[in-house]
Amino acid sequence: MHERHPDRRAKLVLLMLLALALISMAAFMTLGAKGSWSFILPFRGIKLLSLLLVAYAIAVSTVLFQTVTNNPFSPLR
Amino acid sequence: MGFDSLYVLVQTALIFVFGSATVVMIDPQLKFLAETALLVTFSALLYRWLFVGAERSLHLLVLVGIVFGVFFRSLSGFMQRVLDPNEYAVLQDVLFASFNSIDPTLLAVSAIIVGVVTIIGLRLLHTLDVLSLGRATAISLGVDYKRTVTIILVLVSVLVAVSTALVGPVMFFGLLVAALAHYLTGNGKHAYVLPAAILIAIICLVGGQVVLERIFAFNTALSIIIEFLGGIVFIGLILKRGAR
Repeated sequence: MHERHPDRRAKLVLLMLLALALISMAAFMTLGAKGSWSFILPFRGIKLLSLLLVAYAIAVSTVLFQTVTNNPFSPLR
Repeated sequence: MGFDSLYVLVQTALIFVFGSATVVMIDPQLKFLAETALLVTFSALLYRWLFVGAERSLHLLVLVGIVFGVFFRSLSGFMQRVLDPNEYAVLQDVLFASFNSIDPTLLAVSAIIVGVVTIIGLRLLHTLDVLSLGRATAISLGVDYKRTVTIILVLVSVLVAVSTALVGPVMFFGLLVAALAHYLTGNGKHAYVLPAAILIAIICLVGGQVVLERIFAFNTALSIIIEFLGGIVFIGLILKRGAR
């Protein structure tokens, strides 16, 4: 990874990932919805929230753990 | 790191000692908190013992993980064999990571725990960048190594415990996410890697769930697909590392 603007690249990647994440969340909430929205939205909202929470916890914990153990499996090494 | 097998052991022991009827009756919030506390205590002790000592080695880490994993697994294997088949069926239901049957009452509790962890973690963000330079460099740059590493390891074990108690054991997913985040950002700064990892995890879980529900019509489990991909990435990383 020898690029001139590593920060710029990282920001770009982050933006793209954010867009993808938002799209998948929107798809999760709306796709294939039959019936009243007032039932579907809270019902799926709870599921979405728990998925987000789990995703967050797993991602952060793994990255922190790899930092502390000096990234034994990081592809950058 | 023996985390998944400890979770299996705890669940097995619960059903073995109290019987499935009692276990189903326990208040889920209480059970959740107790499980989390137990997992955190165990891992904090283990990690502290492993990493704060003089020289950390990857081999020691992997070996201890394997040994503990085998130990917990054979203990729970023994108990599972003695169990009544009906009780065993109840147990099996608990032991597979499931993203479909999360108890909403546990959400609030775990959200609060994760929020607290995040607040503590945000204050350490820049120290993390220094830590990734390695132990000796970090110490000479003025980081209180022992204290910081202990704090981080406690945070990690709280997060792992929360996610394990919510959905069950997930093994390779974190590895897949972290590897992808490092690879995509091409940047060691945690201010970039951490959000990237979180977003990738969200895309995998939420997007995967959408594909699963709308295309496969619930015919398969998301955790199976994720573990399959994660396992392949894991093997790839090991092979790549071994080649050098």
